[in-house]
Amino acid sequence: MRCFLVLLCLVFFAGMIKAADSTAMETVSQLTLTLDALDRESLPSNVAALERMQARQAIERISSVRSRDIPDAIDEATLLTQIADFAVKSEQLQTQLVQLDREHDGILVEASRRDASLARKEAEQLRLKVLAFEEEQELVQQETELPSQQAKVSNSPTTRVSDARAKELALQRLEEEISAQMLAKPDSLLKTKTVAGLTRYILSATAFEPGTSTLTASAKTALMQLAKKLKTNDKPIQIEAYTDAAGSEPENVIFTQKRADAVAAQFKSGGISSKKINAKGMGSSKSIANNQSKTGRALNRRIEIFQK
Amino acid sequence: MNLRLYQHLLFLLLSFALIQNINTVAAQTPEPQTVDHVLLKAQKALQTAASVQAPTLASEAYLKAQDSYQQALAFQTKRKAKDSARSAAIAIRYAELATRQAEYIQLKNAVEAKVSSNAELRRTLLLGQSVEAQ
Repeated sequence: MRCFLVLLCLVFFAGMIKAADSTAMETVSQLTLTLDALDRESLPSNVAALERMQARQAIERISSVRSRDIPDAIDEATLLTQIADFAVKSEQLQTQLVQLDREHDGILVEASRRDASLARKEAEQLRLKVLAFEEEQELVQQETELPSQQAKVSNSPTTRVSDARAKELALQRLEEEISAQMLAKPDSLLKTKTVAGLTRYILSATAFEPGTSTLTASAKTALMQLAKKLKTNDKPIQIEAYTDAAGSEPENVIFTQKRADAVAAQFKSGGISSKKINAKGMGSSKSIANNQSKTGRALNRRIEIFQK
Repeated sequence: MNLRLYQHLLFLLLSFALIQNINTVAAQTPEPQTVDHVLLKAQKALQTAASVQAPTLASEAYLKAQDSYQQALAFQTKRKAKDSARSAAIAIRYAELATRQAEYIQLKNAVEAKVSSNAELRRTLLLGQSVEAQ
C-alpha cells in the first residue's frame, strides 16, 4: 500500500514535470518562430547576427537546463529574443535613415542646381541691363560731345581763315585809330551837330586809347565840360556808341557798349545822375560814311550824345 | 514479490533522475565569474542604458533592470553569492533590452523627423522657394 502511494506521488511529479516541459516547449516554439521571422527579415544584409545567435543559443539552452532553471532560461531567451528584435529593427531604421539622408542630400543638390540656374538667369539679365545702360551712357556722351565736336569742326581751316580775317580787320581798325589819334586835332575831339532842332554831340573815336574803351585824358576833360553843360536841365541823356563795319557784329556791339559805358561813367563823375543816362552800344549800324574807305570808317567810329 | 519489484523500480527511477540531474548541472556549469564582476557589468549596463535615455524611452525595462540590480546588491549583502549573480545577470539582460529599445525609439524618431523634413524640402522646392534656411 505504502509503495503504491509512493508510486502515485512519482507519477504525479512526473506529470507535473511533463506539464512544465510542455509549457516550456510551447514557449520555445514561439520564441523559435519569432527568431525565424527575424532571420527572414534580416536576410538581405544579415543584420543583428550576433543578437540573433545569442537568442537562438538561449532558446536551445532551455531544453538542456534543469527543470527548476527552466523559467530563468525562458526569461533569458525571451529577453534575448526581444533584444534581437529591437536590434534587427534598429538596423533596419539605421539603413532607412541613411537612405533618407541621401534623399535629403539629393533634394539639396536639386535645390542648389535650381538656385544656380536662377542665379545664372539673373546674372544674364543684369549683364543685359548693364549693356543697355552702357549703350545709353555712350549715347548721352556722344550727345554731350557733339557741341565740342562741332566746335572742333568750326576750327576747320575755313573758320580759322574767317577768324584770321576778323583779327586782321581788328588790327586794321587799331592801326587806323592810332593814325587818327596821331593826326587828331584837339578841337576835333567833340563836335556839335544840330539835326531837327536837336543838338547832338559827336565824340570822335580818337577820344579812346586805340582799340580800347579807355578814354584819353583830353577826352575826359572835354566830357567833364560837356557834363556841366548837360546837367543844367533834367532831360535824359542818350549815349550811342558806333563803330565801322570791320569785324563781326556781335563783337562790334560788345565793343561799342564798352565805349558807351566809359562815357557814361565819365558823366557820372561829372555829377550827372545815372538815372538820367542811357548808354547803348550800337555796333556798326547807322553808318554815316562809306565803310570801304579809311576816312569813312574813321567817321563811322563815333559816340553820339544827345538829350531827348 | 510485488513489493520488491516496486522497490527496484523506484530505485531505478531515482538513480535515473539523479544521473540526469548531475548531467544537466555539468552542462549548466557557469563561467568562472565572481559576483563582483557580474555586478560591475550590471552597473555598466545600467549606465549605458541611462546614457541613451532609456529611463524615459524604455522605462519598463530600465526599471526592471534597476530592480534586479538592487536585488543583486541585497543578495550580496546577505552573502548569497549565487542569487546575487543570478539577479545581476537578469539586470544585465534588462539593461541591454532597455538600451536597445531606447536606441530603436530614437532611431524611429529620427527617421520620422527626416521623412517630414524631406517632405517639407520637396514642398519648398516645388513652390520655388529657397531651401538655404532649412
